[in-house]
Amino acid sequence: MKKLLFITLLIITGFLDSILVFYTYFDLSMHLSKFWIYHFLIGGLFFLVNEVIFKKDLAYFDVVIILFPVLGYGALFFLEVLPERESEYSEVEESIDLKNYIKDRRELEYIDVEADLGIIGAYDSLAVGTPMEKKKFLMGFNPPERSFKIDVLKKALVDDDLDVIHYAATELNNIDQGFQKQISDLEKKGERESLFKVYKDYAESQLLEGEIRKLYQKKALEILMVLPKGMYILEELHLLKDMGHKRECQKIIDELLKGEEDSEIIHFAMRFYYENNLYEDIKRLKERFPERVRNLPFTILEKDLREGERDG
Amino acid sequence: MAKICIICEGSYPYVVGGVSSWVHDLIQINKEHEFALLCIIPSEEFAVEKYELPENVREVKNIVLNPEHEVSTLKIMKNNFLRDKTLEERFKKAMNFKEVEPRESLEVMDELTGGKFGNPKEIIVSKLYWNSLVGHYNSSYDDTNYNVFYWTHRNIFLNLLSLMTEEIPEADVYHSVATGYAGFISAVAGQRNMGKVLLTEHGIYPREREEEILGSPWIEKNFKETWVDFFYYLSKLTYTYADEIVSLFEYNKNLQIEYGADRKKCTVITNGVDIERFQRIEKKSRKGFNVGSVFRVVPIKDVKMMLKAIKTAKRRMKDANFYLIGPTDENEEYYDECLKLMRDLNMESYVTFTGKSNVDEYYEFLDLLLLSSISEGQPLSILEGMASGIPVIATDVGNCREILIGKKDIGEAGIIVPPTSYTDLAEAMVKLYQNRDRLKEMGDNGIEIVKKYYRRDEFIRRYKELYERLGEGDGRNRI
Repeated sequence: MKKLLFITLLIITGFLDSILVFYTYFDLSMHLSKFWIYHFLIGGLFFLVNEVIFKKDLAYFDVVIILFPVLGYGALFFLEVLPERESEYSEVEESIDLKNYIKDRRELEYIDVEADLGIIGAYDSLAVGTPMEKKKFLMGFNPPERSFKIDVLKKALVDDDLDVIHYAATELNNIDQGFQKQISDLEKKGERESLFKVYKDYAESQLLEGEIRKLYQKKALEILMVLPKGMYILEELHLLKDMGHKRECQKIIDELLKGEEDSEIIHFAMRFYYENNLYEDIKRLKERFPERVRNLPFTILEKDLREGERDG
Repeated sequence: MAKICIICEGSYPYVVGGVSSWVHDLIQINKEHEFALLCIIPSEEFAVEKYELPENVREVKNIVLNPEHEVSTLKIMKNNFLRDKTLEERFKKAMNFKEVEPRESLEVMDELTGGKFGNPKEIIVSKLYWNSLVGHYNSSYDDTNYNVFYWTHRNIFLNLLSLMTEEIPEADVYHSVATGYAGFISAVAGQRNMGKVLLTEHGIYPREREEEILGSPWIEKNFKETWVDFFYYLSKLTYTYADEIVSLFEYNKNLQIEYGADRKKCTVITNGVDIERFQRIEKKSRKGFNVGSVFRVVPIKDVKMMLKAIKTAKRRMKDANFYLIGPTDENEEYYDECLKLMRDLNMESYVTFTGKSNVDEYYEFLDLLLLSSISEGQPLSILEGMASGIPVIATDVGNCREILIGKKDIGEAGIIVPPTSYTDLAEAMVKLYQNRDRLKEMGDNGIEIVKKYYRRDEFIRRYKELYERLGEGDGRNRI
């Protein structure tokens, strides 16, 4: 009798667990974390009843029994469901990564150009060259992307050679002083808009970290509050996101999406949803602006091209 | 007793700083000798004394760079008839700083300034100079803008020729405290056999100029190299004529050798600290954890980086107080910027700029000392802190690494962090704050390191011995 009850209990547990796996399979918005919580609750229930009614101690056999169907369905889940979810995300990732790709491409192009001047060999020298080669490279290294330069200088800061360290530190200090001077001048003149841009650039320059970075982001945000509303809405969103003000960010996105279609805003929203694992919102956004979302990479490329022409 | 002529460039006695304090101290501890000061300065207005000159300073002579010279039309016309093809060719060779033999170039300039061609400006506008310059242009610079080429070289040679025509005080020993123009004067003295030449380098002069030049947007790209070569040439020239070359630590000594100094002339004399004086300071405990830094509030000390580090670390060092000790009036604009940053970061309650103070009063209770400079030689402030038993966190500049973590026979006296990295400085502060045993151990090691390697009596003995040896007999008129 007890054996029959035990088998029934096992079947019920397996059935509940299977439902859970299937539910997770069909509802893509179901988070994997929830699946595990429910699964362990069912498993826990099985062990409890086993302990109370059948007075049986937990054994490896029980554990294997409860895990067996889940392992099978789990394998199916990973093979079938995740790629599907991945494919949904990959579209988002494609457009998100595009900006990074463009940035990397620009850096590579700079190095390609410099190859004619013999600097390419020196670029490698930062890792393996003599102190003189490293220093020579750093002196001639002036890429258009300031953050790229700062990244490289920061690497040189931990070099073994004092000369290399000294030069990198001096350069970094010069860049920092440049920002400080601009800030000081603009504060005296009271040019809010320019000041906002410098604060923002400074915060994004890779020179600042932690609380200090937050301070300058906060200062930039404070200026935005007194500038005409919506003038730098995208910058505001970026600042809020970077500072971890998710709720405010979400609120502004919702408001903006109600208005006119703007590919930059849609791109930002997609990235925001993606980073915060808001799968339902991504789906909704894609349904609402299918064309915009599909064309997003091209829009980004076009914008980059325009910016490139303007900078050039 | 010997007469020593100390040659400074833009430092003692008109600028407060490490080199100036060092010179001041050196003169005071060598009371048995007489001193003359030869100061190269950018303008007459610069010459405002910041130090009370010791009694044994008998003479002060200032030489202003880029001086004005009257030009006589008659002299120019006369110069046009003076043709010397050999001298022209030799001067052309002297213009190639990269390849010229230092002795040869100095001899040519000495000949030119002998009086035959008039004053330096008259030489510069002479046909001989013009022909040499055009020859040099055609052989090395023909793809560049001649106008810029001309003015670059005019600027360089007008200064060098002017320095050569200056009267140099008589002395037994010419002690230059840098290469550069100061070194050039000492080389001229050496070339004229006026006395022995001693060079002490705190930093490496052409390296410092090189950074300035490469970072200067107003110098045309093609001529940056000319200026860099010129400053390296000045170093090589000084090394050639120096009888003894002193540096503060091994790394710089090796650089000097790399840049052309004869290894046999090179020696290291470290800065020294009066250990007994600092050992006498009675320790008094004060509430909380007390961190200090001793410096002049100037950009090279990167005070803003320190403020950022303090702000970052403070969250994990609740009871810490910070004392930034030293004069604030040297660069008031920078000091104001630091104050503003401090206010922006809401740090007024736990950070104090003390202004010029008696540091001993702070060494009584400080638990930790910081140094955030982006450039240093061998900072006395950290040696003094160590002598007082205070561990140090310093940026990886100058000799700091060797002082704090390089004495393996004793142990570490602090932590080294990359310059400009306030996050690393903050991490290091928190690390020591959380490990008081390590803090104590480092403090004890610091005392031992100073006792063994950075003794003031040893510093005094070595310089006295140098002055005596170089100044003995008749240094003047030596052949």
